[in-house]
Amino acid sequence: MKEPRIDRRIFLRGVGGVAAGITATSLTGCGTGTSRSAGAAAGGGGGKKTIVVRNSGGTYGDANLKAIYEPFTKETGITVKVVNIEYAQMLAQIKQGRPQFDVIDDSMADFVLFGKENALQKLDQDRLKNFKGAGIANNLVTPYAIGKNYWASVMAYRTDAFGGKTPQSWADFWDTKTFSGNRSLQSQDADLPELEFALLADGVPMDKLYPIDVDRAFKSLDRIKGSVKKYWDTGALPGVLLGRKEVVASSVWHGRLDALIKQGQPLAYQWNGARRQSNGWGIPNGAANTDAAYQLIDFSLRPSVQAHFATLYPMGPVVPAAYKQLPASVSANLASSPEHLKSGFDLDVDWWIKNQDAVIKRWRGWARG
Amino acid sequence: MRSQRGSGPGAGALAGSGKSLSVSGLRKTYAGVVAVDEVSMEIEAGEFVTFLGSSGSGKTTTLMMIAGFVEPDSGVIKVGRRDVTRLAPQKRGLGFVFQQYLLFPHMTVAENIAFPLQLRGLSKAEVRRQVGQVLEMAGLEGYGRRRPRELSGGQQQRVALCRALVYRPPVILMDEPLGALDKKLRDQLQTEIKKIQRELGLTVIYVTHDQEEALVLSDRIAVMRDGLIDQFDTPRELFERPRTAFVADFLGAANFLPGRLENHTDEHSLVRLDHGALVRARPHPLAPGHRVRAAVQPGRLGLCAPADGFCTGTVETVTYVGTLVRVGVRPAGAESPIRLELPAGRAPVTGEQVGLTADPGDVTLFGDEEGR
Amino acid sequence: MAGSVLAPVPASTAPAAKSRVRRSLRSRRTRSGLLNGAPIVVYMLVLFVYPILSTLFLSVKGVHGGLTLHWYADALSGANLAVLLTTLRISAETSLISVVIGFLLAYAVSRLRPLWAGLVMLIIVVPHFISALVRTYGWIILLGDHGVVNSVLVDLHVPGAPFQLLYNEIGVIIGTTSVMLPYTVLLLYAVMRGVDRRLLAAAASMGAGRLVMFRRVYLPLVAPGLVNATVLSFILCLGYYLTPALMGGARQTVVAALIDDEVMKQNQWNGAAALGVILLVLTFAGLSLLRLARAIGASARQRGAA
Repeated sequence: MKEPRIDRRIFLRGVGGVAAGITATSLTGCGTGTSRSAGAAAGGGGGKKTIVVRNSGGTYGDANLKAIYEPFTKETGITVKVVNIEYAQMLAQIKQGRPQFDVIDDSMADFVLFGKENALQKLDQDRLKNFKGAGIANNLVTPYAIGKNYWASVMAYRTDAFGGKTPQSWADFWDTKTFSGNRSLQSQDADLPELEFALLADGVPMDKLYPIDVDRAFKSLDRIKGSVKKYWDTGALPGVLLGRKEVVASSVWHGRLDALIKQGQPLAYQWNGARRQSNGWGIPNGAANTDAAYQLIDFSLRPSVQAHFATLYPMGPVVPAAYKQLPASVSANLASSPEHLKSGFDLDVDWWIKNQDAVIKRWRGWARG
Repeated sequence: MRSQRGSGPGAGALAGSGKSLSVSGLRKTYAGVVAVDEVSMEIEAGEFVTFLGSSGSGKTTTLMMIAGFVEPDSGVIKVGRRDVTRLAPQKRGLGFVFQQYLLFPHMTVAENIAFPLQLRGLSKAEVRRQVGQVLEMAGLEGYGRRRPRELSGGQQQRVALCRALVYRPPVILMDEPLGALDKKLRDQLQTEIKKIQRELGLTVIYVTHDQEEALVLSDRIAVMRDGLIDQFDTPRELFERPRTAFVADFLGAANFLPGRLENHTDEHSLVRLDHGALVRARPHPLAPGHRVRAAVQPGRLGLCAPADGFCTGTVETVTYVGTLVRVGVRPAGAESPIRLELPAGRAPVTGEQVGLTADPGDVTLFGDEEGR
Repeated sequence: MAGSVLAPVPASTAPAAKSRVRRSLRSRRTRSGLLNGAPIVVYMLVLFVYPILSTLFLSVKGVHGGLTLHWYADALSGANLAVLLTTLRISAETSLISVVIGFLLAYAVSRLRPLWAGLVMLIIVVPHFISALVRTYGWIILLGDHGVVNSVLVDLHVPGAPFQLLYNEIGVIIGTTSVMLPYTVLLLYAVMRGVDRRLLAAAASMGAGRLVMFRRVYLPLVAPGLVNATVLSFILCLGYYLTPALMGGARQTVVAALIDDEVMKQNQWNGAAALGVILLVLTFAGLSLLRLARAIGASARQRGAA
């Protein structure tokens, strides 16, 4: 009785998304595949080097290949191989001492968890010449990880639903009298519950969100609960619900509606109150090619490379200088554009790591009640 | 032909329920092939009638049309004075006993027999009483709580019989009910069926391909062939005065002696058999000179001194069958031996020269074109 | 007659069985039989016994070592208990509805010619090979507020339309029922093909109308299949979680989803193991129920024979 599981890991986001949304993963499989190819282990002569990168695959992986890995190979002669394995499996391999991969592309939250498990090398920022003076936000620089691309959870709505009015804030989203119709919010199956949106709707200023007043957030959620038709658990679902008029407004992983909007569907994003998160880089203990790993990270932080990636995939550069190389039309659609940096906020990874279990447990009870 | 009323157990309550049945112009074709062709017959109340024929003769199809499981293309079926031709099977009120018994496997024997009574809205006590009565009559006391699969084939068919007659249907139809049983059991049940039918005055229509069974049971037999009734008569008439060669052959496995019609006397027709003997037979309208076959049942032939019979021959085989002995006698120049059935005490010896005798009334002539 | 997937093990008297075992162990045939059976035994040990035992162990293992029933207490209280009850309710509703619909479908199919029957079965089974996301989208097109069903109902001015047919228990039941139908239809179809239809003719010959024929003859004959199908779909439903997640709301969270959540999200293997063991126990309870029903039927028969 095996159904294909819907994977709700946050890093499995992609514009097309259908392929990424569904993967049949197995619960087991830890401790396998620790052997490496001979070429990867060699690491001597420049032309024959290989580096193994872990990423989440899908359209995100494709964009990485085009914007980062291929130009990197062209420039350095180092071949890039990719593995798509998940947190538990990575951790198991690192603990066995011979991870299959040299560098990890993952969410910043996972790096905090890896850090607690002592699974990562401390990053030597001196080995990243593109890092110095690049202006990467402080919360994206930790002892074990460094930010790579921004993404965001934003509000989305049907432009034909409110008689010309536009919901400007989460308070408007919560206001089901003025903006009547069904809502959808993210399920805890997909990512961290959207308590911040509830607080914003309740009048908490954006810079006072953390530490989150959990009681107040749930009280605020109580008010919208009756209008929430479905808590979406896969990245593709908000687009489906909005497109079929099942709901008129929803939270959504930004980028997921691009294809529908391009097709002419009356949908729009609202960047006010967007919750930003970032992917990042980290190097596992026992990595065979630490040098090459630093080289690849450094390469990816070049403004030109950051800009190139943003044109291929709607995730925002962490290096502000990249915006100088991007046309306004592209910038307007990225989470880290100067305007959107102001209209949104960064998710506090540390707070969530500490409180995640308790909040999720409470959320589950609350949603079912 | 009326049956006598008996006085066995239960007979009083169930007796005299039989009604007459008439069939006229019944016809059925399957995909252009005629299965039953204009069958008509009148069956009296309390009569035991058998449809006898080989497979494909239309006997079962006719029965199914009477039961209502097969719809006739044309014709009328009446039970008593009631036209039932277009009624569904459950509305005809007839009884049916199937070759495969078809007892309900999820019910006990008593429940099976009670089923038709419950359908008729009888009280629980009445149902119990009547079920007990038929079980006793069928010699199945104490089997009421068994499941059908715990019974032998013969017992199952007895139960099926009980189930079909307990509600006193005006006509009971039986489709080779003993076909799945061995010979000994078949003989025993034949006797029982006949006894019950007599005692209760049931009207029974019985289908079989076994002529011996038909002869034992029936008041009248309809011999069927190719969807037609060759002859519908009492067993005695069929046996003694078969109207067609087929009937003669089918009923008695008669001897057919080929020859030429020589001449007619006032009482008989004379036939010169191919091996030279002259035999007297029942009168036949054909003109002298025609090829004919003289049919005579093995049991109707007798032995005598070689010179005294209508023909002489050598005894080839002598086989004892119970109290009978089957004897094969080959006249000089004959292709095959003539078969006789004699009482065991009169058995000849193999190789003996004997003469054959036959009463002219037992010798029936058929023109060569009649029958096969 | 009724092809049963879950046949009961014939009971044997214990002492006789014991001596029989001792005797048969001495025979050469048994020993070589055991040798031949070794691969399957190893297979079962590795793939069934070991995982189940380790799951059992996980479910009673304390955070700091030692044995505890904490995980069971946790699984059987508060929100988790509610989830468990929801799972049982959804499974029960699904199994009943899918057996009723399955019965009607199987009956219709059993009356068709083999060729048409095969085609209909194909139509029933094929949708289950379609990917979950496409199916989700399909269900929304069909059952959404602006979906086919509701559009028709609104056009017909049915009072109360549009109805909410998704993201609540109705949605889940529609979804799980559609998933279970192939199983119940196939099972019942097999049983129905085994019913001797001449028994119905026999009933008709005695004067039984269609309703009586169905109630007193047909239904009892297919009853074992109905029980099997009900229990089977109930057990299958217990372990389902994709469909409830796709078509239900937060209130339709099922145990399997909870297990996934605990393992994949919270790295909480002990709690998940406890839930898994509870599901296993419920499955066995379902099977015992089946045997109980059989035993009652058998004893009724025995009483009848006495």
